[in-house]
Amino acid sequence: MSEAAVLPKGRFAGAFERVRGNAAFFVGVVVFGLIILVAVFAPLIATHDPLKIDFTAKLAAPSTAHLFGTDELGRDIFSRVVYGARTSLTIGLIVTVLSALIGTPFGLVAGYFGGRIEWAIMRMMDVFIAFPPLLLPIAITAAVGQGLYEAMLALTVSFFPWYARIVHGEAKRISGQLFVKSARAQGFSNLRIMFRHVLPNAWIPAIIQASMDFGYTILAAASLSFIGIGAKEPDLEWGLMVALSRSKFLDYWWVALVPGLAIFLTVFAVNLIGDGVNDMLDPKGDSK
Amino acid sequence: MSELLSVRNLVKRYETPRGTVHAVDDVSFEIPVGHSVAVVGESGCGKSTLALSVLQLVAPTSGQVNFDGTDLIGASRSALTRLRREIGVVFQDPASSLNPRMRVGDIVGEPLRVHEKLRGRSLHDRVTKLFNDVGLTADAMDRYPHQFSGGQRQRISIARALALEPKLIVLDEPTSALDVSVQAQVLNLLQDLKARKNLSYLYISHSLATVEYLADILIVMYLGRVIEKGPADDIFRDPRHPYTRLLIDSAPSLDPLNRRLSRPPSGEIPSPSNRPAGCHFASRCSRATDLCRKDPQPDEIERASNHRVTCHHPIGT
Amino acid sequence: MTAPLLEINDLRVGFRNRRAVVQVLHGVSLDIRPGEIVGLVGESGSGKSTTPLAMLGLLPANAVIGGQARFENRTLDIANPAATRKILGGRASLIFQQPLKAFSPYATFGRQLVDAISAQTGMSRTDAGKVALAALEDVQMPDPEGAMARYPHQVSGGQAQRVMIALALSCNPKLLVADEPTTALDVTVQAQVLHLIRELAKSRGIGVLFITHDLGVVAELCDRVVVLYAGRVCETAPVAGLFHHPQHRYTRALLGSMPHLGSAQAFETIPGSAPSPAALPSGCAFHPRCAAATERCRTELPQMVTTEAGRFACWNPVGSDKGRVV
Repeated sequence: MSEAAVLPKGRFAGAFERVRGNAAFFVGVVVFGLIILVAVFAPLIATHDPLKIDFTAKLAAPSTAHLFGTDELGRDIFSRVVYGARTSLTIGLIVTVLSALIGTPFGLVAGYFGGRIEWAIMRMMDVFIAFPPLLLPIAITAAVGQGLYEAMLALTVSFFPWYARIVHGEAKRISGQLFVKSARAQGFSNLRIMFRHVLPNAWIPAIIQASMDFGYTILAAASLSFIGIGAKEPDLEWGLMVALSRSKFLDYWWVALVPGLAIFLTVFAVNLIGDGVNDMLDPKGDSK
Repeated sequence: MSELLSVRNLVKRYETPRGTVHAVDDVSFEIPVGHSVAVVGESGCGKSTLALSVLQLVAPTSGQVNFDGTDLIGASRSALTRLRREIGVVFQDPASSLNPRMRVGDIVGEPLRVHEKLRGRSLHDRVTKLFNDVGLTADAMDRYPHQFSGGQRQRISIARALALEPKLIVLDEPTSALDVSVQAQVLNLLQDLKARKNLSYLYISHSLATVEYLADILIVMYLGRVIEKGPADDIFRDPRHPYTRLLIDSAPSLDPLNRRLSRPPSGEIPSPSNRPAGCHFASRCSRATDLCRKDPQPDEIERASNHRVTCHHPIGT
Repeated sequence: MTAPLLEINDLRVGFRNRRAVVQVLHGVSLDIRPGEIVGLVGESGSGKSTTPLAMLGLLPANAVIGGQARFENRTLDIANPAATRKILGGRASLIFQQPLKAFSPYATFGRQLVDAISAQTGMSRTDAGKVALAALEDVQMPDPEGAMARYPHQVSGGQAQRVMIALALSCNPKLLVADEPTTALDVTVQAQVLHLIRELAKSRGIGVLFITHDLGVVAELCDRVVVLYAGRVCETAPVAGLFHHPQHRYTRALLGSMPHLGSAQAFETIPGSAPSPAALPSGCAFHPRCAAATERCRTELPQMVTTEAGRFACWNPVGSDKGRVV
């Protein structure tokens, strides 16, 4: 056969072309990369022990001794924010990955089998999704107790149904395609068809969702800490730092501003990356 | 003549808000070993549902589908898996019938991995042979479906259908999405494979011209029912049912000096959920009488050997 | 011979992407006379769907367009889609393969026809309603009053196609561009729609450009045929001449590979498949698939030759075989 294959290349081959020239994505990657470096090398970067109380230096303004000042217990805010990056990134990673890992099989099974199985699974997911944001995590922490791990569990429980829903829609569409019909006609097992044929074509929207959710997770965890049902002293968590400075920040602006800025910067950088990932993986981006 | 597949009184009904759709209504036919049976008809005639029923991808309402002596309907799971290896399938749309995330070598080899547990060298050799059988070279194996043209993708589908050396292949409009020049290649390939491997085909199509080329036995369906069946040559030479005649007359000729469409057919195909009483074709039929418009429907009658027609007033009487 | 209604010369269209411009049409020329049905035939990648869009000013913003066009003796600025649309608006209509995509699913045909007609002509809704009903009668819609009250999902594909034709004709166009309007229809319905298009073209003197991949439809319907291959016209001729005495090797091969009733023997096939516009072969774009290709075909672009029977661009036309001793 002398037929030349001349069609455009696959989803990923074009992806980097599409993202080239996307300055926002690169800013996101650079900022987020710096935050990861800070988290990894926190002991080298921190100038003080983040937990060391020093009443002689309480609520000190930013200076050369304390780059971002100190809090009401005299702890060095720069070092606390540096260590706090570890906590926030860990929460974001664990909650997002767990939510996707739990939600995807539900959506896959519902979308592939359809019928009563689909109905049952998706109505169950609707129940979770029907709660206003943060209300479900609050209810869960009320049941299982407060703390960093409990907050992560609560966020996972409230996020995974979204993944089920996204994967469900995509899996349902893919399951109607002829190659899935053909796999069934060849007598392959349902498990094989779901994981070899449906899932590899259905997970891209879930990845896009995860890249967008990462920032929201960090924000939600900080919110839980802020209202007092997430991280607790002496956890090093940005939301908790902002919460602890609640009564002071009118007079001592740095105690709230610096951890607040850290949250903002991280979430912003992650969102820029999420948008970039969306542009890269969404095949419709071709037509832009 | 031994029968590979025999379909007896197959019925498939769907309940919809607009009424019961009689997709397949009491259809019976046989496919002898090494023969190809074509099912033709217009949209809504039930030909695709019939194919899916034979493949057990839709569950028939009633009837029997006997393959090689075993009834597929009500067969145990393991029996069904075994029988499925004997029936290959090629679908219409080469764009969606191949998994876009798998290399085409893996697509063709997958049935061999799953059912024959082949791995490594022996798997590679079998897949290479299959690629050669359909006119592709083995170096194509590492590429993805989107890197091929429509005709090549349909060759890959055929290679996959051949992988387990089936006795029967169901072809659901295999060439209707292809360019004309490529369609001819694929039809020739199918004809060639049939002779070489003693295959039987169940060929679903709306194109009479391709059917004439590929089919030994022809079944014409209208609104779920078989209205004429018999040796394809016989029917093309001497159609007995007025609907078959209409289909043949409506197909464009390739001769501008001898146009067929100066008198276009009148009437439209009724909805399969709201079929007229009596002979369903009576509303469009120039030969229809009061007898045709009344229940019961006409019975199947034998006009010549194996040539049967379901009509009160067949052509030639 | 009457003056052409539409004349297109050396139409060139490319599409700009991030890396380059992919040239799809390399200088297509064609003309349509009033009342004439011209078939535009080609395979995928031939440019047969780009040509009508360029003619009607419907190409997207990333298209690079060149060439000359005249419509009813007025020069069309074909490189400027907005200007082209302005001149052709109301004088040219388009019907296409999926009639249901032309209509909103949420309004009756009557309402949509009346909206379109009153917007185009400025008629009152009552008058527009009469025009709509007359248009449905003209396309032999069964029960035209009933059809006005129906929603698009309530009719068959053939009937929806009739309503689309009625809509296209309601503004009394001079030119009708039909892009594969019968491909999705059953043969018996296709026969009806083809007959209808022919009747309307002849009785009203409408020029029709009929785009299709189906040579059978061309043989039944058209007066003249333009065969496209890889963005160039390879042959154009009156329909009987083209089918009985094709000159270009591609036309001949295409006819040989066309299944038709009464041809139960093996088809002649064309090896390979049509080239992509992004990777055209040198010389005659058909040479890699052509059994009669010579060295010249591989290197030199064939020139268009005009004979009394038509025009073709082939170094080694079918007619040149005749003088030879076989």
